[in-house]
Parts: sequence; C-alpha cells; structure tokens
Amino acid sequence: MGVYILRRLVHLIPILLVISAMVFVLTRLTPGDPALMKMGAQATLPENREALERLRAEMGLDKPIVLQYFIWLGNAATGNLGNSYWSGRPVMDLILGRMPATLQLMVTTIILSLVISVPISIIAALRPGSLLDKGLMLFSVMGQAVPIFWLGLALILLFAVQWRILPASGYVPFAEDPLESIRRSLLPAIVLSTREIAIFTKFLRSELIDVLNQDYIRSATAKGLTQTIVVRRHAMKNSLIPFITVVGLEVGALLSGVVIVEQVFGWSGVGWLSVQAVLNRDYTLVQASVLIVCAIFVFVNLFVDILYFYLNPRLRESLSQTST
Amino acid sequence: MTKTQDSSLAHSKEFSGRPKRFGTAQSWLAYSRRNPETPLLLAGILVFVLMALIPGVIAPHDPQKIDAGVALHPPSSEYWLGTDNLGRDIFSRLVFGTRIVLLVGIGGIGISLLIGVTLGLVAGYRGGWLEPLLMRITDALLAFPTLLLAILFVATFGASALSVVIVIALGYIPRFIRLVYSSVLVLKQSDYVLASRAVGVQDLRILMRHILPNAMVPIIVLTTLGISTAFLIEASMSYLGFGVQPPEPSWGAMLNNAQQYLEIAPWYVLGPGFTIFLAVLVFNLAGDRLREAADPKLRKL
Repeated sequence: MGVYILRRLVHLIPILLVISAMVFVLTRLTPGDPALMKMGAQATLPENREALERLRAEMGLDKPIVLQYFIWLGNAATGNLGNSYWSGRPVMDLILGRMPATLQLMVTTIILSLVISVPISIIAALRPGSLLDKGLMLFSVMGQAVPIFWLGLALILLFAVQWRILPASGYVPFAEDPLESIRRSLLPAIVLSTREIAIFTKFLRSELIDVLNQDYIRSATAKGLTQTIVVRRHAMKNSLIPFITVVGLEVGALLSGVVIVEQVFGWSGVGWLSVQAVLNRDYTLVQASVLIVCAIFVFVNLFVDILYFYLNPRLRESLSQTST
Repeated sequence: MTKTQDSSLAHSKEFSGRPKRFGTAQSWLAYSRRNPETPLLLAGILVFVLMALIPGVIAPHDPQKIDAGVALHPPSSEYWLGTDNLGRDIFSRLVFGTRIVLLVGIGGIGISLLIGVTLGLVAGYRGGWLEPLLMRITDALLAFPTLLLAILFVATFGASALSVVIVIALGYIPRFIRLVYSSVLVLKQSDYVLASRAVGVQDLRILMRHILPNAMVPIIVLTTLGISTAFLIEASMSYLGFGVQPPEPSWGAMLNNAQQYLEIAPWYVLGPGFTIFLAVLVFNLAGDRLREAADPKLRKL
C-alpha cells in the first residue's frame, strides 16, 4: 500500500510541473511589463528609467525566464504566490479566505448528488426498460445538456422571484448563521448537482445492470436471499468501485461548474474571485487561483486512486504478488 | 446462414445479435424504423445548420436593429420570443447567433481532432522519448478544469471567439490523444499489423490503412459528443463575458444580459437558454446514437 501511494506521488511530480509551467508561461505572455504596471503611468518618463530598472531587478524580471519560473515555483511551494495587483494583499490570503464558500458548495453538491443518484440508479437497474427506467434515463440525458447558468436563472425566477421562498443570491458563512448558510447554498447546490446526478445515474445504472447479470448474483438469488440483501451486499459493493473513479473525475467538471454557478448566484467563492481577477486583469491572482484549483483537483484524483486501490481487493493482491 | 454471401458480414457468426449494416439506403431505413428518434435528431442538426448558413432567410427581423419603443416586449406574433432591453428581436438574434456557436464549437473540436489524432497515433505507434513526454503533458492538460483553462487563457489573450476556440481545442486535444493512443497500443499488436510490418509495409501506410480505420469509431463518437460539450463551453464562456463581444449576438452573452432583467422580462432568459439546451441535446443524443449504432467489427470500411 505504502509503495503504491509513493509511486502515485512520484507520478504526480511531472504533472504538477507541467501545470505550473503552463500557468507561469501563459501569464507571462500577457501584454505589458509587470514592473511597468506596478509603477503606473510615471514609469514611462525618462528620468524614471533607472527606478524602473531597479524595480525590475527587485521583482526578478531581469533574470532568465527559466530561472524566474523556478524562483516562482520555490515561492509557491512555501505558500508565497505574490501579491494581488489590484488590492496589494497576498493572493494566498485572498484565495484561502474564499475557499470555505467554495468547499461548502462543493461538499453540499456531492452529498446531494450521491443521495439522489444512488437510489435512483438502483431502482432503474432493477427494472431496466421499464417506464420508470426510461424516464430516469431521459432525465439523465437532459441533465447533461442543460446549461447550468440557465438552470440557475430559471430556479431563481421560480424560487426567489415567483414564490419568494429561497434567497436569489449571496453567501453567508456557515459559522455565522448555519441555517441561513444552508438555505442559501440550496439553490446553487441543486443547480450544480443536476449534471452530476445525470452522470452518476447513467454510469451507476449500467454498471449495476452489468453486475446484476453475473453468475454470483444469480446464485445469491437462487439460494433465497432477498433482493435488498443481494443488491446491498453483492451488487452495490462491486458497482461502487468503478463508480468512485467517476465521482473523482467529475470533481473536475464540478470545479468548472462552480465558476459559473458562483457567478449566477453571487456566491463569493474562489470561482467568483478568479472571474473577478480576469476582469480586473489581476494576473497574480489569476495565476494563483488557477494553480491552486488545479492542484486540488490533482490531489482529489490521487485520493480517489488510493481509495479505489484500497477498496479493490484484487488490485491489492496483485500488487503484493508482483511487487512492482 | 444466408448472410455469409455478404463478405462484410463474415464475422457475424461470432455475434448472436441481429446483423447491422451501414452504407446502404435500405439499412438506414431499417435502422430508423427501429430508432424513430434518429431522423428527428438529424432534422434537428439540419435546422441548426440552416440557421447558421442562411440566418437572413429564417430570422424575421434585423438582429441588430434597436427600437427603444418595443424594449422588453413580451412574446407576440410579431416578436416570437419577445425583445431584449434594446428592443431587438430575441428570436432573430438567436438565429444570427447560431453561426458563431457552430463555427466555434465545430472549429475547436476540429482542431483538437486533427492535432489529437495525429499526436495520439505517433505517440502510440512510435513510442520512444516522445511517448512519455506527450502523455505527461496530456495528463497535465486533463488536470485543468475547462473553465479554469478559460480563465487563464482569457486573462492572457483577452476575450474573443478565438479564445473560446483555443480553450475548446486545449481541452479536447488531450482527450483525443488519450483515446487514439490507447487504441493504437492494442491495434499495434494485432496480427494484421504485425503481418504488414513483417512484409515491409511502410509505417505511414500501416497507420493510415490499418490502424486509423480501426480506431475510427470511438473517434467519431468523441467528436460528436465533443461538439455538444463545446457548445456548452462556448455558452459558458460567453455568459462570463469571455467569448464573443457585444453587439455580436451570442447565446451565452444574451443570457448574461438577460440576468439583469430576470424579474421584469423572464422570457428574455427562456429563449437563449432553451436554444443552448436544444443544440447541446441534439448533438449529445446523436453522439449516443452513433455509439450504440456503430459496431466496428461489422462496419464495412
């Protein structure tokens, strides 16, 4: 197990290096010299030429780009990603400050999606081809096609404008007012879950149908176990293993969705912050937020891989035998 | 077995299911009888293509004509989907917005198809130092959630239709590489490829004649599904203000504008959103159908 985790961690190094290099190089391609931008309009005056050069040296801009990258990477590794062009505050503080809002939204979404999609999949898989199954599959296809910002606006129209039972926008920290916080996260979480429920249901249903046709399920039914026990003990266990990988991969789509949904609902999380950063041309903030979110996604997938490995006895066995 | 008179069905003995044939008019007819929604999907695609090609014929109004007198007019026989805050006809703007959406979506996927398939073929067939390098870059690109790639890219190069195309391409190139690469790894070991190599057939010929045709079906499926996702990416980016800039009509940007008038003009939100939904749905279902219908082993190539 330890060897496996170590191997996966080593595998991550080139990926993280490429990601960080892309983020660094792309934001360096931006028109304009960061030192010029920092000094403002007076930098163009001839008498300030020396000061500008000094500032560039101070910011490390006179060094070769590869060296600049490694300096930036070293700083990033110690949690220093520079200061925001816009507010002057360390970007790490800004991002960490917004992180709880985004995490709350994502966790609520994942819980909601799982709670809904797992029972739906079981019902559909037990009666494949039934009217219920067809209806659920239709929902699944539509759930993947609906643009989430439109769904968000439609729900705001219904719940906040027409019926006035849920607030349209705004984030309230959980610690401040737990009940109001959950109430406000309901609509954005429902919107975000739609796609996930669609994808989870589609996958888990076909996985379950596959498993339910296996010989050992027939044996279990033949020896007189009830359907509940067959599904819970035998079918679900085997279907959940590949399902976990899908959930992990969907975190990526969820991170895209968060950017949109936070915008629709004025939810001031990391996605909202990064869109603001683009609009304000706050390059250090863009750089840092993209890097951090991608790194989170990479580590979530690492965790999922390890979990997959841990839950799948066959993989564990094969590793202890071959020890590669 | 009377079927064996058709050489392409020689394999069908291995399969218990009914044989599927492609390429003849009768087989398409037979197929659409079994899957009545398929002609419907094709018709849907045709409608969007027509909207893109001849918007002037379909749209009843000039999409840019501002008329403050009818601003935020609800749907009527004159303005089918209502008007926006500047009195422009929403339906006409949706029709005229189709071209850019299709161009951006199909263009972005087309670029990724070309680059991704080529790199996937080379990485899988040639191996060597290129393979680990390409695959690590592929892994890293796949670790970017699409909209974060969009944020990074738009921050650097600004918002435009081209930025959307590049973001779609960057998102899908690694997917095509992965797909083709894994097919090639399997096909490379097949008897017919090994035989061709043994008799000295050139690599390029092997790739084009033996490997690519056999890897084609999943590529076609990913292309169709990719186009539907590309529409969503385009709409999302335009919604965020990262795509086509006003006054150019764009489905996503229209929704962004409509959000301000949500309470007084709910129809403004419904039209563009439903159009995006339909476009994505039609291409998505078409991709699903292709996946179900295309049985690579029985298909005549």
